[in-house]
Amino acid sequence: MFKRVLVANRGEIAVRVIRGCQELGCEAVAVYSEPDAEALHVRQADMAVLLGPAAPAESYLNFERILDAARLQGCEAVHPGYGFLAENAEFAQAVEDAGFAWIGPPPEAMRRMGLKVEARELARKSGAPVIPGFDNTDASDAEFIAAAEEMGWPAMVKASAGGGGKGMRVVHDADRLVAALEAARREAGKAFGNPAVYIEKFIERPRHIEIQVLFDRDGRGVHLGERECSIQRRHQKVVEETPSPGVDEKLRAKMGEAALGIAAEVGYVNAGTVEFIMAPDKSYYFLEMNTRLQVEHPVTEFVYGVDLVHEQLRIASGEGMTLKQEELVPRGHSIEVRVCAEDPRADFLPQIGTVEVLRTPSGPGVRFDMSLYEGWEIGPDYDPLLGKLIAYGPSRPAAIARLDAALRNTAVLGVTTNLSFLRRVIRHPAFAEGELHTGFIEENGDGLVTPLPELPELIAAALAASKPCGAPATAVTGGGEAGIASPWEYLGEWSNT
Amino acid sequence: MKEHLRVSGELHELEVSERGGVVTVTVDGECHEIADLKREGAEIMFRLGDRIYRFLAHADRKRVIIWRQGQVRSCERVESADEGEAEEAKGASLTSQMPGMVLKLLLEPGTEVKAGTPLMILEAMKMEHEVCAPGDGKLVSYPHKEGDRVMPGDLLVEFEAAT
Repeated sequence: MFKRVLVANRGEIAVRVIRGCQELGCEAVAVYSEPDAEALHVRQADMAVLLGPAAPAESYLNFERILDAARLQGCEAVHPGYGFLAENAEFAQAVEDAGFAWIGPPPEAMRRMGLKVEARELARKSGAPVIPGFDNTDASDAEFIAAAEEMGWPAMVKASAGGGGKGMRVVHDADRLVAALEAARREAGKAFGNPAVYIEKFIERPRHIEIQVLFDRDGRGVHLGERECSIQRRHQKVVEETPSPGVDEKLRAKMGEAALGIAAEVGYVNAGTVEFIMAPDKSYYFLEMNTRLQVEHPVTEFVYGVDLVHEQLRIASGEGMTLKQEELVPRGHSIEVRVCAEDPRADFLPQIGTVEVLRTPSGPGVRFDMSLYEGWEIGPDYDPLLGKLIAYGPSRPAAIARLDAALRNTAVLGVTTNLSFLRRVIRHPAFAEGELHTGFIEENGDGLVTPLPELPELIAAALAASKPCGAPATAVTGGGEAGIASPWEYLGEWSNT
Repeated sequence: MKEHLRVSGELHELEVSERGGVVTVTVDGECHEIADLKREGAEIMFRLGDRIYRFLAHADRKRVIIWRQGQVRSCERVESADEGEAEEAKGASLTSQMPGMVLKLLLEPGTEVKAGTPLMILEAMKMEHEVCAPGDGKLVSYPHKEGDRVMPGDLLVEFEAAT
């Protein structure tokens, strides 16, 4: 095992990877940008190195500064988390060229899977079903329109170098396609430095099912079943779970084999996820492979009893596969929700602010991976993901009930979050039914709005509002009439936070 | 002292008073007696009738945030009822809630639009967001040009609601 690993990321995933390293007796070196000097991942690491200013290009995306930090601190390996450089094959190559171990797949496998068009070809070669599409990224708008007409509407515009919903658009007719191509190219160019886009047939009411795989350096691979990530908004996952209510044992084995075949085709090593899209008739198609740890990996960890970060570290340090496919049987059910600084009432616009009050849930089968503490300021520089709340239970209804209770007991005050929205999603009758598809939130949106305030809330607001700001309790006399004891004396101790 | 708070778009007049050890909260003119009021840190606990309520709260000069059982309300402080109404009358012009950049202006000033029509594209936190018409009306002007950076509270679109 490594003695010291550099974690090239920030936020909740950096915190989670640092914990994984430390659990294996390996020191973790954090890197950070100027506004992140007080971030939780810096506080929890064994060492921390400043990279530079807030702009990702000068900090979390800066190869040279990250590699310098690894050299300076005598690290043996680099873990990229997800996002930032996690799927950047050039960075992976630079890490290896600098003499460090890359805790991820071989750069060549990343490069080939990163080009969505080539990934489709790899999947086709391995015998996996691939979604009909038109992937000549150099084609003219007219050729794209002709191809979409031939496949049948609606069509999905996707970024060739993409992921995370950036550069994606669903288009229902030829009139809108040109504008969608233009917007997708712009977004893709900015997000990935590569404006190439392609189109695919858009499957209506699909499920998003992905298979977790792990390969050691000798090519021994196992899959850890599926995760269903159908609850999405603007192609960003919101709720993830395993097992999928739409996948049985037989289908799981079949999709698992398909995923292993695709990964083997590219000589995959370490943890990866093969994403499929599943039509209502249970036919499924390869979508893409994520050559890294996924945001939603904890649900798999709960249900399969495997720590994926530990496995990543073991594999990268040269240890062989210890997991056996026949022993990887799902037990119970786990659901994750993504907690984001965004306002569901303002079209989910990202929010900034200081965490003034924080209460985290606990109890059996509850896990909250996050990077918050009271006083932490969420700025505009990075992704609005604050953390993930994950619940485990012996059955799906039990997991939902635990997650519901956990959400009920989670408070983040000072920055607007999607927490109450998440709770309404998982309490929705259609969610309990398990009839999930990627249009769930749009379809059930009306049932997901905030109810109007009730009297006790207004009373509490009045009590909170009447609390004086910045004045010591004894100095306050407002509210009482002459000759009557101030209510503030009666109300007891104040805490001015 | 009367407090004016805007909660979920509605303006409320609230007042806390105490007489002879009894705490009364007046909500929009109606009095409610509460019992067993306790505050510890961010927690506020009280009884209303038979029910016990436990809230978390944070208050500063601009707003009051309350939480109970996973449900959060952010209430905007308004100086007086008059000011609240004046703000409402100012109407539908759109302000930025986020630091961001004006990416694209989509329409010509003066265009009559339906509710929900995209007016501009704003880039914030690495994502593109459409700023849409809040109701039927007229796009009066764009105070910023493409490429301008905007801060929270900046006017994005001057918009005139149809009457």
